[in-house]
Amino acid sequence: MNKETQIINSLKRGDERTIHSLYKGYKPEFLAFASKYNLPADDLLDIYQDAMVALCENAKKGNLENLQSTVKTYFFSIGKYMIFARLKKKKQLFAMEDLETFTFEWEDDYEELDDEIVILRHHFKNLGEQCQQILRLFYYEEKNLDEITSTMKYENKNVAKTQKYRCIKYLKQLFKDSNNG
Amino acid sequence: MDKHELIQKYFENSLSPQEVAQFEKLLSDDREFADEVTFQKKIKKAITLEERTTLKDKFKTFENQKTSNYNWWYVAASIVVLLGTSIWFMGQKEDYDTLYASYYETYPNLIAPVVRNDKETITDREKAFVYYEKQDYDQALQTFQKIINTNPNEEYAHFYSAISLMELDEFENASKILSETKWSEKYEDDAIWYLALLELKNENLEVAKKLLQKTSKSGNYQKESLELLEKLD
Repeated sequence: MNKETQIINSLKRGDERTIHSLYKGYKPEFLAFASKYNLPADDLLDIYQDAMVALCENAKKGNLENLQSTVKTYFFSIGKYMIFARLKKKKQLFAMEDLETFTFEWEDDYEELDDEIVILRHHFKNLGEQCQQILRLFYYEEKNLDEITSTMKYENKNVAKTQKYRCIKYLKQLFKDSNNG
Repeated sequence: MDKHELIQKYFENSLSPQEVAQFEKLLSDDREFADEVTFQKKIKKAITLEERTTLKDKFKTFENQKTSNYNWWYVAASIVVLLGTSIWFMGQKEDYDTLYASYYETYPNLIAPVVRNDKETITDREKAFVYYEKQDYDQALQTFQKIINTNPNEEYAHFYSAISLMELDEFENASKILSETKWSEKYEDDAIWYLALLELKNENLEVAKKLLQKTSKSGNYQKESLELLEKLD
């Protein structure tokens, strides 16, 4: 197994040591690179952290399996993308031409962030460990039921399916109760 | 195909073209089905928000781990200095400002999670907490006050105004809000705790003790309250 595959696999597992060493490792170079854009230092650090979140998230979702570049190059592309997105938001962006080759999915569509999502997040945190885990795998890491069955060591897919269904139902009940109360 | 299975495949991104058609049709014809899809999309967002925040908080702790850069003797030297100061303090009257400073912590934003988005307009509530998290307490305070002007019953706005005032070193005004507001259960404990700290800072020891006795019985400040009471005795 080469070094790149090792990094990707560690990120997929959410290995803290790898995350920490990448975080520390990429930071000086990223901030140096990012400093040529006209953004406050706080923003740059914020973007750096967002890009790191995106890297970890995409690794977990399995989006790094067929990576054509190194993890580092990929990470810098994400960072650059996010810098441009921030500049665009601040209406300071004039050209985005050299990003056209980079495709990157990052749903940051929290404009719809309503109270219901905030409440759901709260109830999610209060679920049992097993429910949190199965829902996290399904909705966040976008794992299918077969993968969940093996990760959670369920006897078969039907057990996973029933369990997931129960957890959703339970979350829904908590949600309804808090809306009525 | 069973509706549950369709929704599941939708989230797994594994619907066949025929199933996509079936899914779309149900979405427009079947109200219950559409509601269920919307609900599960919200679950997805809620979990995503939670996971991202957790990870980002971890990164913030990475930023604070600066000590590893120092040599051991620096740590050793600090311990010597600390020991020295505490010995010095033992012989002194407790320095109440120091006590205040060591127990005071900014109350976290538990109201409106701050997330970036491209939306042009945000509510005053969101705006206030963006300032609050940016530690721009002056602007935060102004926005909380604006919220109170339109809706005097927004309890959180009163509470966070008081915290913002403390951050701005306007202790008297903070104290006024904390003591004069009729708090619900949600903020009562917090309000008493912060008020106790302010009374302590003001060297009103008897009042501070009385307040600390309340927060020492239960709640989030039990441990700290007991510690402080011990120090004040």
